[in-house]
Amino acid sequence: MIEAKNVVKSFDGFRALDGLTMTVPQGSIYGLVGPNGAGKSTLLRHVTGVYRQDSGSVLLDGDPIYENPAAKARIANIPDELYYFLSASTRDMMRFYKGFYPRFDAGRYEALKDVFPTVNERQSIRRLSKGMQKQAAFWLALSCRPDVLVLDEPVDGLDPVMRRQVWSLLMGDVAEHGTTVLVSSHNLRELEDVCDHVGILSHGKVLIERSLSDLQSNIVKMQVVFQEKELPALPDDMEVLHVSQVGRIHTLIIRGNATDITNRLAVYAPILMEALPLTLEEIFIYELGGEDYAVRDIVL
Amino acid sequence: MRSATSYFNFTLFRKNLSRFWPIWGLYGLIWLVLLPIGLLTDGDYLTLARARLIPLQFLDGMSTALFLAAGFGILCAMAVFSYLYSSRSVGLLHALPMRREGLFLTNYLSGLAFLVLPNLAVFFLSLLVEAAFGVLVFSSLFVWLVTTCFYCLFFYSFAVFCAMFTGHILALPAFYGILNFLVMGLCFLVNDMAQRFLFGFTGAAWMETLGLYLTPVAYLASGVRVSYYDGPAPSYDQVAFLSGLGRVFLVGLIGLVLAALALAVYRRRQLETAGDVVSVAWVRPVFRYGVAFCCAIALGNLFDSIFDRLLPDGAWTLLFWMLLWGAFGCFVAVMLLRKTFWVFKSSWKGCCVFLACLTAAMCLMELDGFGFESRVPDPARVQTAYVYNVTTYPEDDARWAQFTADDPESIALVTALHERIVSEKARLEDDYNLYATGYTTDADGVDVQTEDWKDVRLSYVMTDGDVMYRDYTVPVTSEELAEEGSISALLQALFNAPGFAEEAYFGSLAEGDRLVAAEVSGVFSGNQALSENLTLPSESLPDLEAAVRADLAAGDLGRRWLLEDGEYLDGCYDAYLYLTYRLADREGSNSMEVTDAPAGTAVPYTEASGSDYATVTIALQPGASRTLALLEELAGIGPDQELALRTLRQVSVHDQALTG
Repeated sequence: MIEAKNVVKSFDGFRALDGLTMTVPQGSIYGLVGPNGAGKSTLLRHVTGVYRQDSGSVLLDGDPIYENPAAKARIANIPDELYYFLSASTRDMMRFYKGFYPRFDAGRYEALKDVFPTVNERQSIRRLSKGMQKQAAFWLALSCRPDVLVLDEPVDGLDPVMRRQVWSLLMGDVAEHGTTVLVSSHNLRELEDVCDHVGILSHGKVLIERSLSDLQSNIVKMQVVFQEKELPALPDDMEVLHVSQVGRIHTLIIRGNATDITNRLAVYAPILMEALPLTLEEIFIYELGGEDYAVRDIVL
Repeated sequence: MRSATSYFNFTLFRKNLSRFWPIWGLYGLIWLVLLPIGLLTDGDYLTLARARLIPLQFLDGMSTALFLAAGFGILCAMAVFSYLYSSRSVGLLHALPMRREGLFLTNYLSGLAFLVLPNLAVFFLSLLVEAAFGVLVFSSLFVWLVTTCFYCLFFYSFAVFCAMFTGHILALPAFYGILNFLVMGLCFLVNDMAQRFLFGFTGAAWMETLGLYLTPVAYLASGVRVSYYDGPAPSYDQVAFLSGLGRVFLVGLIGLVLAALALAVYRRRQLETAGDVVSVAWVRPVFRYGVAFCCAIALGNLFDSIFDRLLPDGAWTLLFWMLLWGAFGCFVAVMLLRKTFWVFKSSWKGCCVFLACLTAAMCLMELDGFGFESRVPDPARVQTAYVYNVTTYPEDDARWAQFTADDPESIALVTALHERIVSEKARLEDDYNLYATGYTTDADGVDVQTEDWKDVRLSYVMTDGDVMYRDYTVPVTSEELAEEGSISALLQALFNAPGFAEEAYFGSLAEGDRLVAAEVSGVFSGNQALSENLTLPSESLPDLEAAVRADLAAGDLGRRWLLEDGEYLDGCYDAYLYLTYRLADREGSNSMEVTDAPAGTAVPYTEASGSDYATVTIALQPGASRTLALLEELAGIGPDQELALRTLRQVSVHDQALTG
């Protein structure tokens, strides 16, 4: 389990992480989402032990990660911007990682050759295409047999087939070895398919952190046609995140359970009422709307 | 639990060696060509003496070893710590399961190995070559190895230390280069600036010493030298040895300390500073105002000298340039720190505060806020006073003589002169650019000097042990010489004080030194155009010495002039008396020294002519009745004799008559 408790990190006075608290359960695939500049990459650099927090703690199974080789040996990392030594091939980097990660599995490295057949392991990684570099990164990271995989925009640059293959490998590791995957991505549709936990970051804090099913069951999209064309006055305690109207159809994004909301709106005797589940992307957009990060209609 | 692998990782060490092979390869190749191949090419000419000397020659002063260590030290540091300068690479290395100490140590040792391993290889190859030629001198090669390795240790560690303070790969060599020479440069510039603002400031000797000690290249180059046995060498081939090994060990030790400090900084380094010019928070203001200060004094001085003909000369003009370039430096530093050009709005306040401080400091100096310029010591507190660096006439051994005052009367003469100079500060500063050397032609058609300027250095050793130095440039004119109490008159009187001349000529001779030869130059026979030298009989030498000393004591000989004026031309013969002394044995040295003179004072007037002799040169003067009488008696030199001496005026008039 990864825990971040009240983590604060400032860059030249700017608080990139502002008392962030987060828990990633063991064996979960945790999706970290948030607007640009929310602090996702900064958080991941703390989780991989690269950055030192100004205050707070970042723990792996209760042990601090920063300056703790034992904890860091259990973590593999694929950053957003990959770096490999000049002219180093995948095989060179394999030997390099093997010298650091005690659980590096050379057998698995050989086995994964078949998964990444297009990557020439003897060619300089820097001369490979962006997608192939990503494949090489997965190849090496998975060969480390990590307990925790920290991924920043991991499938960016991979083709759809390779994306599916990579996710399949990751989910296989989660299922078989209880690997914990912490993944930051803007591809919310994809995260929705693979994540079981989601944390939404904004302004250096975790806004919401729940399992995906909890998240989806706690917010509902209601499409309603009322007796009158105008939206009637709704109860004050009903937390309406967003309202839109097309013709006589009102679309309401309301926080709460779908059944409860349906029962409460039934009081208005609507002509038509339907409860729809929200996608992760919609949840992201509507939740951040309250954080002054709503989608605006921009006319130039 | 921490394991040993947390502190050193062989994989990373090997990776560094394989990644950066061009650096250690080139370094090794250069030494390979210089030393083993150099020995090899000597072939049959390679003797034991040469085999001893060749490795040492690479360590002599501003040596090859020094340059290679300084150059490759920074290259190695740049290579092994290059990962700190990009967020990508820093992410890769610091995500590895290693402690920072481990990363530092592994990288540090890798870089050091780039230099030490080739040194070792070259050492063993050289041993082989020498052994093959049968001229193996292990000690010389071993000294080379140790010295070169210690040089490498120091310069590489210094570069690593610099590397910890920046996040930009290009800033690293700049910092390294600047810091290597910063202290010496700053001392020079601050001294120079202070001389402009402080009337009489000589430059602080401690600053020069500090500059030397804190400038590694200068410190090593000045102290690590190949020396040769003065006396008999231990054996015929052991003629040379390396002196200054203490300095070598010292810088090696400092290298280790710098490495430890670098580790301390590295442990606290914020890795997000990759790409920043300065990566340590508390160094940023130091950098900003340091750059501003250096720009102010360096560029300020430079532009002041470039525009000195267009703008009024003086401290205020210099201050204008200093403020201008100080502001420039201040903003440039902020631009570098923030990586943007738009810094004026946010940093003008700091700049203004800096400029105000600079102005206040300069005004304090110029307006003598410390009382430095007007300070003249109380004669009662002075133990010894020296006046030196003043050139006087005639051009004999007393020309550069130092006036040493250790009795109240003489000290009062020096402080009176000092007092007078200080009281005329405004005039001296205003007229500084008008100082010139001028001549006029008198009724005889002889050029006589009417004006000149003199550098006057004063130093006082106080009764409490304090030392005070002052340096002034003063004008000397014939009008001023005639005016009682003027600077020129006081200065001339000082160098004509009783006892000065005798001390100037004979002061460095010791008891037991014996006059063994005497010669007179400038002896004319009849109306001859050319003079000749005359050797005086050896049996008359004691009498001659007694006569000279008596004339000097009576003030009839040894009179000094500040200008080549008419009085000088009439009062001095164009003839010199050369008195050669055999020196008695001196403990620890066979050369003559003025041991109690402060640093920078005039050199002794007697010069060693061989290891055991010294010659005193005295210009003869018409008033030296005792000496002249003896010369007439001994050699027949006199006004009514066949042989005669001519005054400077007579020689000049005679020369003019000859040239028409």
